[in-house]
Amino acid sequence: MSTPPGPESRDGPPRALVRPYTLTGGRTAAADSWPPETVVSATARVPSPRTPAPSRPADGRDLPDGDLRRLADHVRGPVWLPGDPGFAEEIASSYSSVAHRPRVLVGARDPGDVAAAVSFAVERGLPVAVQATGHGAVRPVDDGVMLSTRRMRTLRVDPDARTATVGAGVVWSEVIAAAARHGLAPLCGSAPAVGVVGYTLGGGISPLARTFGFTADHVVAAEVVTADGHVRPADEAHEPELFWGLRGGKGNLGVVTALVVRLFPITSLVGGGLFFDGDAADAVLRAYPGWTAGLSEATTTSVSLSHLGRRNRAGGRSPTVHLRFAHVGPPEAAAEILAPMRALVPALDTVGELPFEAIGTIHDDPTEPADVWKRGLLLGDLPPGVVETVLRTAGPDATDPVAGIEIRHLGGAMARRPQPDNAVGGRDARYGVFIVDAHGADGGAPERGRRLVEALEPHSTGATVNFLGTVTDSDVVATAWTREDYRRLRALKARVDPDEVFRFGYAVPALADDRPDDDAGLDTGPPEARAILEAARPWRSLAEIAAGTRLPLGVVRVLVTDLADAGHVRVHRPGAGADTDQLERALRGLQRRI
Amino acid sequence: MDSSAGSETAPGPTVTALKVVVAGAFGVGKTTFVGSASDITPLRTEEVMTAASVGVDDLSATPDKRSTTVAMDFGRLDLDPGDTDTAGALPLYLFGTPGQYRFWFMWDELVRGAVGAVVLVDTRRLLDSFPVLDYLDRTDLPIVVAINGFDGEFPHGVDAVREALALPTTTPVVTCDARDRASATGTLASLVGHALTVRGGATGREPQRVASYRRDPQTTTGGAAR
Repeated sequence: MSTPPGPESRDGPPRALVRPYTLTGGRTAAADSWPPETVVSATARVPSPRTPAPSRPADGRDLPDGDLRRLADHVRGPVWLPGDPGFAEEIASSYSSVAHRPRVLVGARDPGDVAAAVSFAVERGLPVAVQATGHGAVRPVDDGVMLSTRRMRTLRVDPDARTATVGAGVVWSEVIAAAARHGLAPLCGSAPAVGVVGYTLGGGISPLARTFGFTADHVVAAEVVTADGHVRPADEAHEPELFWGLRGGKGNLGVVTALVVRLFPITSLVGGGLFFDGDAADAVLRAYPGWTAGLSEATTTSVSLSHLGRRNRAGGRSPTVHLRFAHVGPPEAAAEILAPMRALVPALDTVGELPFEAIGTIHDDPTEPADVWKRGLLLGDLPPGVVETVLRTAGPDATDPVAGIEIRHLGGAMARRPQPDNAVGGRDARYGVFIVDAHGADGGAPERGRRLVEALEPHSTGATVNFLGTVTDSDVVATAWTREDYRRLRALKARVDPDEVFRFGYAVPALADDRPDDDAGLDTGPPEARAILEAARPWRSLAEIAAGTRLPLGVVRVLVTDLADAGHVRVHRPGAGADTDQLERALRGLQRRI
Repeated sequence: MDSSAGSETAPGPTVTALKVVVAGAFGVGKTTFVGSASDITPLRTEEVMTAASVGVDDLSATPDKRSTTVAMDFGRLDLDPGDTDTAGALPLYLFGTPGQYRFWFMWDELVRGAVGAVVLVDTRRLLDSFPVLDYLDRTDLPIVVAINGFDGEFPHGVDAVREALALPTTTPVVTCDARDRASATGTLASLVGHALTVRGGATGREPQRVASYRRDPQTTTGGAAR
């Protein structure tokens, strides 16, 4: 081991991804000398604000394809309608096993594309769905604008700050490789092919979660496009409530285009798996609660029973019993900790010192998409009755077993709320149970799966978003947060997405009583500033902006000054006048018209 | 890897906006001229004349004009759209000056950085043009005097107008129909060409017109030397 164990507590100042927008009253000198033809151009695409509901087309369902295609005028990335060459490939290229059919699909290249697409959708009354790798797909997206974020490839490692800035299209394996070059490591998921952003917004239970906490606890800053089409930085200092909700609220509050995540000085760990014959399931599962109860935070483990393929990875009887083990500390200590489970005689033992880049081998998750029913619950404890139920449903003697069950040992650092706090739920849970099975005959839960969930529910303390599974019932989704946090999320939703533009996935409904009369709650500056931003795209003169916004020229100058100071617009300061070259171009341009 | 943050987006090339001031006496057709030449619907602020303002603004020679411009009206010509959103874009803004004398405080701002001024004149009331010409004479602005032929008629020749206004030979005097797009555009081309000529001439300023006549608007004939 090359690194000290224990939670990393480096807390540098939060680094915003984009400069915050605040109205300051004008620091840029000489604004009052800008003549009315001074050209102002928006530096980032800032789309129009939310259209009031009454003026919308009903559901946007009657929109002609021609109108949907106009989205291509607003974005740099590709745009497809169903049936277009490339549409099916873009949808199918993800990990998702769910057949999405949005009205229009956008391959967003940058936050400006995301902002433009969100505005485009909102203006037409269409919902917005987001997909990077498709690992989070719950149910088919059958309407609206779908954003494919795979092209958003930002990845920067700051070795001094020990952070990585990660775009929405980046997967964990890329961050692992980039961080490893600096002797650093991210709190990645068990499957490195999973996208960073979606995983982290749902909390994120990494193979080292008991040591360091949820991955979302180590987000330093986020860049998010909210339903009003604005690209916003969110961190402890900027939009702190939004920052609270993004970390754990999954995709409910906006499209996160990038995250800054903390990295840890870890280059290796002790990890791997013990694979047992199906006949050992009883012994391993009965030993697991007592064994894990004595583990320190340096050790994170899980155990799974898998009937997938109906044959045992270890060569024996189904199910495969797979104990996953990760320890941040010296190999000798790890061996001592693991000894009681090794005494149960695994058929295959891969636990050893691993370079961090090999962390994906600990869980050895399947890398192919599987169209399966999934369901997860959190447990406050793992009493004998629960172990019996699991063995009865998925053990070697089960006549009609569910395909797979995983029990993760939680707690440790995950139980502690971070500073600043976030919306991640499940901190009081000590174990998580995750069930995978074939869909039921009606496309819903399979009967045996439903019975298993019913048997476990009395012991359940809730769920965690990333492991909710194939769930759409909002009452079940609500169990992913504490009652207080869920209400707080709904109030936040009412403020930043009152019309529920982001309604796919694990939707949190907006709290009806908290719907604001206007969206003045967000840090956008006065509505006049927003109007100017709209008008200054791609560029306009002060005079035109004043006429278009019906603002006095003097007011426009002050607001433009603030927008320029915030980096939102660029002012093309006129010089002493046109140069000869420009005059000649102008003369040619005029003569062409005559 | 691309940049993720919007504010880091390359700002693109600078847009150079050119400006031409469309000047002239009240009711001479400035708003019409801007509207004819502009690519965009001219943006303007007009108010219907009231009895009180009739007392201030002399409508006796233009009885058909019912409204007057009390703020800037302006238009835009996109002379070169450029390759992308901003690359190489060359907009030309036309600012019509407020016609009434009481709004002249706005002129100083308007003429700053302008390519030049088109001074529209109405031969029925040449006298009214003197204050405008007088003002512009105190600036370095290249000007073209355009005789707006109402109803397409030009009862007085260009030379007669030049003489009546005491304009130097170097100041172009053209005829135009402010309602006609090609005619208005041609007038602008004359101005830009003149601005290039003035700039090209190393001597800079052309000879001053005789100021004394314009400071005495009662004198309508002749433009004697100083």
